[in-house]
This record gives sequence, C-alpha cells and structure tokens, in this order.
Amino acid sequence: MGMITACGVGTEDNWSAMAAGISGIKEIESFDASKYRGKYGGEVHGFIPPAVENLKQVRLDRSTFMLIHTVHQALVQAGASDATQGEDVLVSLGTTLGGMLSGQAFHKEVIRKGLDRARVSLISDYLAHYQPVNIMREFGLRGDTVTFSNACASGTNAIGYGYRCIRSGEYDLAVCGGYDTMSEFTFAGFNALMAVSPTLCRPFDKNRDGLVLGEGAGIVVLEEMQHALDRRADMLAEVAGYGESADAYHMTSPDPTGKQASNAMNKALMDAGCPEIDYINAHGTGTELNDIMEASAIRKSFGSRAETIPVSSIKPMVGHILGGAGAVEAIVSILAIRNKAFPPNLNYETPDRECDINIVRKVTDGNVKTVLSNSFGFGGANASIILREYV
Amino acid sequence: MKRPVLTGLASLCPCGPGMELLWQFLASGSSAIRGLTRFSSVSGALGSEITGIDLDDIIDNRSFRRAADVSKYALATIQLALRDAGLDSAAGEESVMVTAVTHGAMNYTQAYHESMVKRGVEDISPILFSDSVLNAPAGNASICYGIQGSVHTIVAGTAASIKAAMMGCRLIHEDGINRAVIVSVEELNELSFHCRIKFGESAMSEGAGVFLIEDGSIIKGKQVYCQISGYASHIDPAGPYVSFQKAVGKALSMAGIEKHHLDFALVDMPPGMHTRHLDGIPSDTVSRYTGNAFCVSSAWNILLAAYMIYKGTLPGPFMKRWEEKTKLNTIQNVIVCNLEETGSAAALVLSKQEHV
Repeated sequence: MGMITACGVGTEDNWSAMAAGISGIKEIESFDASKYRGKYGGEVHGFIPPAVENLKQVRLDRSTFMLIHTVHQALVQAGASDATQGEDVLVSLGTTLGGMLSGQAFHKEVIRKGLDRARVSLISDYLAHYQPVNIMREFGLRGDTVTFSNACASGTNAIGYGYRCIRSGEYDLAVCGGYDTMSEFTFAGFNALMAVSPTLCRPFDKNRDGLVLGEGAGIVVLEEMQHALDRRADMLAEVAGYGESADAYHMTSPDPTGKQASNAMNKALMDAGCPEIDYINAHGTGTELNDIMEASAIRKSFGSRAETIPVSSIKPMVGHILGGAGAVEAIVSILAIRNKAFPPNLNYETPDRECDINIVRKVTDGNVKTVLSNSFGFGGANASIILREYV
Repeated sequence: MKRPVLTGLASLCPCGPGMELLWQFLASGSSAIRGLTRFSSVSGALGSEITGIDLDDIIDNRSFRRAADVSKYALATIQLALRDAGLDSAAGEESVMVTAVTHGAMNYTQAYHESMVKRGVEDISPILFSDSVLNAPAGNASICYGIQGSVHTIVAGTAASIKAAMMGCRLIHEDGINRAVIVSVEELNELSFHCRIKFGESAMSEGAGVFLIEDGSIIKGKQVYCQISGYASHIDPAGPYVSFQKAVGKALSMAGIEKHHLDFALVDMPPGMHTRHLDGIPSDTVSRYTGNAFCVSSAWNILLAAYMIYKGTLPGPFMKRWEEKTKLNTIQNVIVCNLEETGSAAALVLSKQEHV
C-alpha cells in the first residue's frame, strides 16, 4: 500500500496521525482562499516530488508525482517490483479531475496571454488517462490501464475493477487506487455549490455545515492469492466483496432515501458471503444531505445492527480527496484491521437524530476483522468495498 | 453461457442523427470535413461540427436544456439507441451504463475558468462546475433514463469506446446484468482543437455513438446486429506497434479466429503512424470522412462494423477497399482496433450472430 494525504506521506505517518486524532486540515496555502466561504483544506505539505527515471515528458502534473511516489511505496511493500516485470499488470486508477493543476494553469494562460502564447506542454499531463500511462512508463509495466472518473466513487471503483479482473483470472497483479490534487478550480466549484464548510468538517454531527477538500493518493497492489503465496508475499488483507449502483436521482444531490447506496452495500455484502461487519469506514462528507442519506442507507442494510457497528469518516483529518477518497479510505480500513483500532470521526460533538448510527468519537481499540468502506459521488455513483483480515 | 450481442445502435455525427444517415453519408463517399464556423480564434481550422440539429427535439426530458453540449449529445443518442432496440426505457437496476470520454465538457470547463478569472468567484454558475466534471454526461444520462445498475465513465483516447464495451461485457458476464448501454461522446472545443492541431491532427470532429449490449443467450425475438466475440486492450513498454499487435492478437484469440477470418478492419491510428500487423486485411475508418472525434471515432467504427455485418455489405467507398467482392453477404467478422498517442491499443471483434 502507498498513500499520501494531509496527514502524512506513507501509511505509517498517516496511521500515527489518525491514531493520535491529529487532523491535517489547515488554512489553504496553495492559492488565496480568503475570498471563499471556506478557507480550510487538507493540503499535502512536505512532499518532495520523486526523481523520475523513465518518463521523458518535460512537464508532469503534481498528481503524477504523487502517483509515482505511492505506486513505488506500494510495490516496495508488496515486494512486487520484480514480479511486475515478467507479466501483464493492470493499472486501474480513479480520479475526478486528472491533472487539473496543469489544466488550470493552461486555462489561465489562455485567458491572460492568449491562445497562441499558452504553453501546450501543460496539456500533456492534464487529461486523466495520461496518469496511468505515466505509471506504466515510469515502472516499465506492460498490460493495461483504465481510468475511472466517477467523481468521489472513482477510487473505490478502480479497486473494485481490479478485484474483479483478478477474480475472473484476467490478471494476477493489479496496481489500483485513486488520486486528486487540491486546485482552485475544484475549490471554487464546491464553493459555488455551497458545499464547502466555513468551519470544520463534522460528519454526522447535527451542526455540520459542509465538506473540506483534501488532496492525495492511495495505491494498493492487488494480487491473486496463490500468486502471492507462490512468491511468499506478505498479505496485508483480503478484498472480500464489492458492490456498485447508481442513484439516477440528481447530479449533485444524493437520493435522500439512500436506497441505491444501500443497494451498493448489499451487493458488496452478498459478494463477500454476508460476513459480520466490524467497522464501517463511511463516506461521511460532512454535508447535510450526504450524511443523512448514508446513515439511512446503513440502517437499511444492517437493520438493528446499525445501532452498534462502529462508524467513522476520516475526512475531518485528511479532507475530501474526491477521486482519491475511496482508495485512501480503503487503505485506512486495512490499517484499522492491522492495528486493531477504529479511526476517529473527529469534530463529532452533537448527535443528529437523522444520523442515528454508532459514531466513533475517539480512537478505540477493537477486534477489527472485516470492514465495509463506502464511497458516493456526483451523478449518483455509489460503491462499497469489503476488506477482510487475511488469515 | 452469456453471450454479449448488440441490439441497439445510434450515431450522432455532423452528417446527422441516426445510423441510416451515417450509412448514407459514408456510402456517398463525401467528406464532412470543412472550415469550422464555431471558433473565431482558430483561423482556417478544418473539421466537422454538429450544426442545425435541435437536440431538444430528440430528448423527451426537458430537464436537461441547460446541460453542456456533450451531455446533450449523449442524451439524444441514447434515446435513439433505445428506440432502435425497441425499448421504451432502460430504467432500473438491471441496466448499467459505461460512458467513454476523452476530453469531456471542455466548453463548460473553459467558460468556468473564464468566469472565475474575469468575473470573480462570486459570479460562478454552479452548473458550469457540476456539468464540467468528466462524469457529467454519464450522471445526466443515468438520471434522464433511470439507469441504476451502475454507471461508469472511462477516460481514454480512441481506445475509450472499446474499453467501455469491454467493461459492459464483463458486467454482463460476471455481475448478473442484462443490459449495458455503452456511450461515447465528445464535443469540439477551441482550446483542445488548438492543442491537437499543434500535435499533428489535421481535422477534428464531435458527436456521440451509443450501442446496447445484451445477453444474447436470453433475449428472444429481438433484432440482433452482431455479437461481440473478442476484445482486448494492451500497452507495452516495447512500443506502440507491439501494443497494437498484442491487443489484436488477444482479441482474435478470445474470438477463436485467425487473422484470415477477418473480412474488414476499421482502424484508427495517431498522426504519422500506420496500420501494421493486419496482413493486408482491407481497412478504413469513419474518421477519415469526419475528422478525429477521439473516443467517438472508435464508437462510430463499432457502429459501422455492426451495421456492415447486419446488412452483409459495405458502404461504397469501403467496398473499393474490399478486394474479394464475391464474399458479399458473407461478412462474418470485422475488427475495430486503434492505437492511441499514449501507446495504448485496443481491439474489438464483432461477428455475425449465428444463433438468434
């Protein structure tokens, strides 16, 4: 696994921060946010772009550098650097905006300097399908790439797709995950939608008033079990089930009944053989509508069990990473399993009767074996994945 | 054993909406490429653009009149494809949609940036943001047509449509889905046009292509154009031609046929690259007559391939490339394949449905 968030670079730094209840949310520094309703975000500080060995492009987007770093982390931890050289590998990534920092710079140059003077080189890493190709090139991989852009469900979709491709026997190895960077384009958009919190991200709290954006990347190496056993890999967890659905309701608002979100969870549960769920890593954006919908969907799927299953959202600590959220949250779910603890839902103070589920207020030890992680996005995209302790 | 077949086809291209107009246009041998009227800033630009078509006349649902062109193209073309398949609706949990895009709603993205830079953040229209995200066409279409199985947007170059079809087939094979609506859509934008010209493209186009994949083992009494018998996509560090060769080889292997069983190839290659590894199989591409519409170019090729197999013939200009005319009415297998400038290749084999 490899991850970069506002809480740190790498899984250890991230888990240390989360286990201590430390948030990476600060005032935005990468652009002037004073004119916006909200001024906070989960920016990654102290990340040094890695040296690029094989890519020949002059200009790479920050998203590509984050991906190169996290893919490297994941391959090293998996001990799979050699294995990926001898066989076809799937690179399945999710993003909402691709190389938007490059795109934003290009658009601004067009407006300020004119079309002829804007640097076309900015375009080369703007389009969202270039980043997985960059990964293939940088790591000398052969196989296939796929880029999902299903808004905030993208990262989970990308892992789910890799899981399905391995299960069907198409691939033995898949590099999967998601990413997005902090950009003013995105920030202004969510601000225009009145979705950005002027204060703190408080998922499921009665006084919640919006989301806080973040940036980062999360990568997992998925591998067919026998393939991993044959090369004596250290298995971190098992993907047990995956489900997806669509609301077909509204472009930016979730279906308040949570029917299709619940359907995605139910599909994942069925796919996994209906295991006991020890912890739910919620999408939990901190917006009025998402959190009511998600709580309702959890109650639909789990019935009376919803009152006791620990639930938390890590977005108060890392922000909403959009296309990267599902991947980062899947990794945190695995870290919860491996560290036998529930990550906290920071800033939760006042219960909301409409979000009547068991919110984890502080880091709590627990025998976490099986985790359900939810992701819901613009356009009504829903995805749920179940991760299980490997025994 | 589930068998993916194509049951509904629809095209929206500069020659008009619907498969018959696309076929007649290609049969006429004319080109839709001419001087573009849409961009004053790109002088002397060549391409083909959609003009004179009131999409609101095609889209029954009036809620999407403010949507970006790229979303409207998708909505209109899906409606035509559903009609072609004899369906009143694709609503429900048993239908999925996989949408292919290359650039997405670039005109809204451009307008959004202009608004942000020139007029300030207070003046930004939320719809310019929400409808500029890459999955906006898919989101709008799923809302418009009530598709709830799952809805995906795949981003790639010309390979996107084949990758979307591959995903549709996989969902039918593995996920208990009965129907996959595969959508490819692009709109012309002056910024992407300007950059693509610098990268060596000669002419660009826009529009949409939609096809419905259903499980041929359970549908009865429906019009079936052809079956999807093989598919693959591949990228290889050994170079683009190796990627292309492997994608074609894998797709043929999955279809259980050899190259010499192919009757025709519809192929898109980047500027300056040439078709290889097809051993003289007659080939052409719709984009030669329309300009490059990126992911939509390969969707148009898939639609044309299905129509060729169904009709048992080729449009006139394509016929000239088909050396063995005596095989008329026996078109069994057509391959649609492409190579992107990224070095990624994809191939899809369509075959005559033998057990309708």
